[in-house]
Amino acid sequence: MSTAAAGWLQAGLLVLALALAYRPLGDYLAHIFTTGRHWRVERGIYRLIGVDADADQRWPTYLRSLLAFSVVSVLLLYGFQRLQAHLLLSLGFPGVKADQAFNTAASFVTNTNWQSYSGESTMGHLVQMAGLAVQNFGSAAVGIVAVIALIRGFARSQTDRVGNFWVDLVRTVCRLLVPIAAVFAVVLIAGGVVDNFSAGHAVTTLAGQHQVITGGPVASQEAIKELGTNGGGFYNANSAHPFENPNPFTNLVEIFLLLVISFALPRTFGRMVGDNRQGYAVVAVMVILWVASVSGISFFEAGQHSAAALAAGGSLEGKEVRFGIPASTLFSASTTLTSTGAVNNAHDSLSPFGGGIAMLNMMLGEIAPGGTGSGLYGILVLAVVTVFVAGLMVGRTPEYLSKKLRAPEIKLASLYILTTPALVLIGTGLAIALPGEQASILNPGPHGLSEVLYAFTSASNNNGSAFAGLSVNTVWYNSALGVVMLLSRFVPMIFVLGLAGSLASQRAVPASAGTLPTHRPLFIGMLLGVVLIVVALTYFPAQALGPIAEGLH
Amino acid sequence: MSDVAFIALTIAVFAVMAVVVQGVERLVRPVASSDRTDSLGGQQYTAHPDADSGDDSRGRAASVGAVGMGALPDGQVAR
Repeated sequence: MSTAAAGWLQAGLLVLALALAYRPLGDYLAHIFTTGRHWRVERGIYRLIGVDADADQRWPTYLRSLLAFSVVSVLLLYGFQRLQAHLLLSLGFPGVKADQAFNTAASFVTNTNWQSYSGESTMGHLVQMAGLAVQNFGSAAVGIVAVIALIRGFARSQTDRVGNFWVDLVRTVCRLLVPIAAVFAVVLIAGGVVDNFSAGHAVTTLAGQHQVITGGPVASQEAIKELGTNGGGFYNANSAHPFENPNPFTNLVEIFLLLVISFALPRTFGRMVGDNRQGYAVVAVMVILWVASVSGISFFEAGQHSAAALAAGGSLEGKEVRFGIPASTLFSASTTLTSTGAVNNAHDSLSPFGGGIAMLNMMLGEIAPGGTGSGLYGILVLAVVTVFVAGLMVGRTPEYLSKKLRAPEIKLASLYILTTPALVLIGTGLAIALPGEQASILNPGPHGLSEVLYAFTSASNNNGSAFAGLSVNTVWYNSALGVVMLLSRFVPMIFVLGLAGSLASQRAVPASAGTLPTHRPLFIGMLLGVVLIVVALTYFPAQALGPIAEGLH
Repeated sequence: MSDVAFIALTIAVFAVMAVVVQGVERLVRPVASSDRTDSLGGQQYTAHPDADSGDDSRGRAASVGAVGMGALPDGQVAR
């Protein structure tokens, strides 16, 4: 079988697996957040942290709990890295330097997993396992509980209670992430991913060079890295490294993991608001954008016409031969559309338009299907804007899921949409304008701009993937990107929780003949239009100066 | 930069967020029943009149949702 045929077979199997998982996983998620029963282990955790598990929180309390959990997580992870030299399994590595530790702590707590370090030469096993991997669980759970609070905002009426953050967090970790990650860690080990406590083996290569091959608990971190749409690799090469992703089977498993929760959450949404068709409408928009992205990147990567590309059958620079072009582009599109940021090929080596699409995927706000939880709340905010725009067209007070969309809701949705582009564009502008930081840009012209734009787009959308060619391990980049990651993760969440509180406070309005149906193809088309016009065009000038200029050159 | 600087930077960023939270609270408060202390009751979203009733039955969904969304007897807690 040719590489291309194998790649497309993988894509078909992936779609089938995701379709099969949509309903049971989505229903299970709804069950997790609606059942009144606590597991014994959960009750033990609640007693330990002093939480009344049977008390719901007002939305500001829910939000403050989320922020408190996150700030403590950042500080703990920062301290963990700084004290690495004194910890077990440090492999002899010194403490991580302060600016890099700040960047990494912000990165992993925000589900970004941007890495300005090489894992195998910077982090000991304990920091990887008890620091970074723990945040892979925690940050993914935080995204999920935020969208669950928003869904409750739609579903509840005349209350300011949106659930209990601590209960939602513990349930997400105990009932969803840990069990699935454990099962798939074993699957990955069976597929050839390494998992050990090896400090490294010194070997002599066939060319006579000496090399140290570092092992570690890779498979156990790989599973949650993809499942939680985290993306931080154990190795610097991430999922292009043969120990993290050795063959097409593990490649398929990893892509499935990074998509499965985010694609199932619309089912949870439909289930919890009592109308599954709402979930189908949302997931339809996600699927259309995902298919368009996979097709677009694949088209540009397979359609290169240089002599080398023609000889190789496509643009293979920066791609692993064991995956080929289709399985690489499938991974690239999926990882940039889900805020995962893991890579199995070098995005800097993508064709200008292929790289531009990867960037556009992130610029859409990570909504197709997006990060765990953050993808769904992102697209629901855009759905609110879509209903508002439709209401303006026909002169009706807009309603979405029986809730009127009044000034506060639209203000919060607008602020949500504006926050990320502001951070991307201001950050990129500063990085270009500051004379001292221009030295970090290793490529001239549009590609150099693309590298900076990609970095701030990735950080601001909590993706974490990177173009090469930009030296980001500097005090300025570590600090600036760290601050951007924190603000872009939690400020939009504040607006989302505010929206949840505002919606929950309303009385439900019964649907009437004049209500805009939000489950029909017309609404799906309108939502797609809002995504492309309101969000994508915000970045058009920057894209025009970077990848588009490079591609047309 | 020292540890103190980065710890202070982290706290400063979250302090900014705390200010944003207060702003959002002010934005939402005029329409929210913020002084309710036991407002756990809720009601299900009423689907569009032509909602289907197939295998994805809203009746079944509503029974799960009813527990989750607060359609419980007074005094019980919804989640």
